[in-house]
Amino acid sequence: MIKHIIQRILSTILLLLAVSFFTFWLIHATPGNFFDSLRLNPQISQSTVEHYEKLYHLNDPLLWQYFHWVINIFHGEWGYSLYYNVPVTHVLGSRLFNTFVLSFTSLILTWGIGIPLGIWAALRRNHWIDRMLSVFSFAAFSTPGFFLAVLVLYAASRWGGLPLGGMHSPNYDDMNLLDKIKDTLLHLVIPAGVLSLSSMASLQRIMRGNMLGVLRQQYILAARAKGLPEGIVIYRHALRNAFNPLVTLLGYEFAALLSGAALIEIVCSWPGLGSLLLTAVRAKDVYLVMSSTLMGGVLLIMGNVLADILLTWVDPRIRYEKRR
Amino acid sequence: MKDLLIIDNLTVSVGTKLLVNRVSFEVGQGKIVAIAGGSGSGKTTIGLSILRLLPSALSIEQGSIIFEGRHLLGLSRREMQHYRGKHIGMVFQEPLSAFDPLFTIGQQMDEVLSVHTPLSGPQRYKKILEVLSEVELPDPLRAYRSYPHQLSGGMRQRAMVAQAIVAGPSLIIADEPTSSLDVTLQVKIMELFKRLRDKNMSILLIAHDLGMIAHLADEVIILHQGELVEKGEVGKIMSGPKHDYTKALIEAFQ
Amino acid sequence: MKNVVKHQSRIQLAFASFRRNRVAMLCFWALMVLYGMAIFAGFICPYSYQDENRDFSYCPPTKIEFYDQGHLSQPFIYKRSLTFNDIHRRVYVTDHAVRYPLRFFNNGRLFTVEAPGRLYIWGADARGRDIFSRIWYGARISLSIGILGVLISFILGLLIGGIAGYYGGWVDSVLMRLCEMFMMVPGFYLMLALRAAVPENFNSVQVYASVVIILALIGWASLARIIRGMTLSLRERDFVLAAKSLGVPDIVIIFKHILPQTISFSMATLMLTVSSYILAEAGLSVVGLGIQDPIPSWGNLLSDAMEIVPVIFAPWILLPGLFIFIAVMCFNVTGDALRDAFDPMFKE
Repeated sequence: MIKHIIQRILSTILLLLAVSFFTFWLIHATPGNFFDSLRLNPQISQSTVEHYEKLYHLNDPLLWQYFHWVINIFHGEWGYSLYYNVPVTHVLGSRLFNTFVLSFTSLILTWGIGIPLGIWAALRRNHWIDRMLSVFSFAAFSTPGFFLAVLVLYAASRWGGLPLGGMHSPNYDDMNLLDKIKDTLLHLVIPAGVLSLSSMASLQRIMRGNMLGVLRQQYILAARAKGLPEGIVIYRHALRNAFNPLVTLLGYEFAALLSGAALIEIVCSWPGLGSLLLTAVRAKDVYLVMSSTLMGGVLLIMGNVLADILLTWVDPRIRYEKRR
Repeated sequence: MKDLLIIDNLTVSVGTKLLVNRVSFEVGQGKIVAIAGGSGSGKTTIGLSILRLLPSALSIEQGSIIFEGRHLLGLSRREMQHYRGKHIGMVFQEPLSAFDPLFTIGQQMDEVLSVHTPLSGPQRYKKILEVLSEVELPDPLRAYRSYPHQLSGGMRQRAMVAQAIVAGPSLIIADEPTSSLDVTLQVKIMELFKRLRDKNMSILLIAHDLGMIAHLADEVIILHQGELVEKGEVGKIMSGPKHDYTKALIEAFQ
Repeated sequence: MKNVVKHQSRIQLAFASFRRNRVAMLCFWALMVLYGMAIFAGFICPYSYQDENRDFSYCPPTKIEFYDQGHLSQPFIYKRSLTFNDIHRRVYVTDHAVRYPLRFFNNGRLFTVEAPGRLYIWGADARGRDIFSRIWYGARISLSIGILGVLISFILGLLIGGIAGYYGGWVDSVLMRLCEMFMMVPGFYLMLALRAAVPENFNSVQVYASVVIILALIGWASLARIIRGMTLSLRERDFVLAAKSLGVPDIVIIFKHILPQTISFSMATLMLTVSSYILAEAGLSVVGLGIQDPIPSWGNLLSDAMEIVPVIFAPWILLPGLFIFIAVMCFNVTGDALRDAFDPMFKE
């Protein structure tokens, strides 16, 4: 099992290197040297420019530059942001945390509501609520997230009650800890709600399908033949078997989550990694783009490894798989 | 001696089609009674009807099932749960799909005991190991800790029999228990059933292999497309079949 | 070739089953209507997508009148003019004295009004451009990009998935690792990064092509995996062994025998992929990184609507979103129904 996890980490590191190099090459392939604008900017001192020129070996071939960039990453030197006029690390940290908060809340909502709804729908198959849920699910994952966000914001502006974007209220810094948490939670409602809606909908459908498939299995009949109460049959045996395959989805879910979060962040003015990346891309802020992409990748690895560990823990067939 | 199980005029249908048509037979205590027939004869349906585990599309039109003097068909679902596992056990054809892949054998057998008996944890553990060795599993402790996919086919089937008898039922319904096993294992399982019968357990054996039935069962009921064609002692039927279908079945397995 | 014959009737059975699904057929025809309107946008729309008139900025939808003082008459609209109220908000005043009758089949367009009248069936945007017209011209972009993107993804998927599935072994492992890598990257991040590489001086056609390629690159991997799975099971079939024993070269077997059979079963996935590409393009365009103004796409039409203030005063600018929703929903429903029709296991 450990071997399997190490393999996964290695292959994801490879992936990170590949993606970052690809991004690096792409940005440098476009005309217009980023550093020219840096040099021309009167706000940046000559010594800063020289410092970075040396650090990044700008006169060396591309591969060498990339190599130095990677080395620098490990030294904690992530580059300079032209747009924000500060080293990248100053901007990245808090943005990363904000995206994490949004994504994590969304994940909890998605799985916390989606799974029970799926079970419920399977147990009440063809009930009118099941059908309604089905239609609703389709509608939910057909609606563009950003569009739904705007609609919700529009409704919120009409009916009040929820803050219209951003992460903190203007007087955030003056609040005590409890109020700060409450304030953040209030601001989370719309972005996290909209973000989780479509994945909740598809998860519910999948869980329902799995549940129905499992309920047809022989071991469910056997469990009933043993005289087990229906509750144990459903919630101990059927549920676990229906849920297990979904854990493999968790890994891909992270990718989708980060992806969807980016747009929602932008619409709801949530100060996260996605909106940072967008600003960086628009401004052709090379090192910021690279670092943001890299951070996105790191978040992804962690999520995937966690999902993998969860899967091996939860499914004995994988845990005790004979060597092929 | 009163019969353990009496099936009287059982009729089961799905929609307008009759799967089981007015079948009647008895299973005495300590006897192995076989229900024989080709596929579609209704034999599995009878087995599931006794435990009231029929799929919702099927319905029992008429008839009665009397077990240890009680009419099973009139019982509520909760009362039925009391009989399942504790008084009547079931062995399935394919043990890999009849066990929950996510729990160990021990856990799945423990479930039966904790629902049906007042035994404590350590007492259940002891009882399970006893039964696992009774079915002649070479390493009961290992079997207890194993997941279904970790055991071989033969060991799994023994474990399934163990799970069926652990709560001490007086009747076992065995639905094609050896169909998924190779011949040497089949013989072993057959011997296991004989031993259980000698301990005064009754076995309702559902099978299509008349050869196996001839070696194992005391009495046999021949079904053809839901109708009872012949019934009686195995020896008599095998040597002097009256019905054409019975003759055809015997020939097929000669 | 017994297997091939059996397979044919399975496809026909599946299509028959699909046709019985009324909701799916409804969605399918809705899609046909959408595509039809898009193709004939030049005819149905009263204005071109660039036709702007700042005097009618954010003009509300124009009401078409059918009655003239109680009598049925030729359809017409009243004149509208812009004034500002006491708090400097835009107000449009209707002048009942001046009428502009509707002209049909005028100038190659289905219906228009004579200048200086302006017919805004669904309202106007900030620059006075007709939303109705821009939506249907935009449909051309949004609906075609999805299909083209899927085509390229499909070709990539067929190639890579087919080769991986057919040869197996280390070829399969390497190619599947590659797929996994692509599937694991957050789509939006990949799109942004790729978009960053597109030079600024690209004209609209080149931008369109770039967006198509970018879309294709985010989705080919899951298609490849599915095709690989199907190829794996197909290559064991008798007709493949027969072809091999006759000395038919591998490439021919892959392209002539195996891949055609994967197409029908991939169709459901293809439809679902189109819907995700339409959403992706909308996402890219709404932040200004996709198709650029003045060429309309449903996504960039919505970029005006991302600010809450315009939406409150001119809610009709949200309409493109409704169409994205309808198109995506229809693709999802037909894709899902196709999948149900082809996979008997899904029948409940």
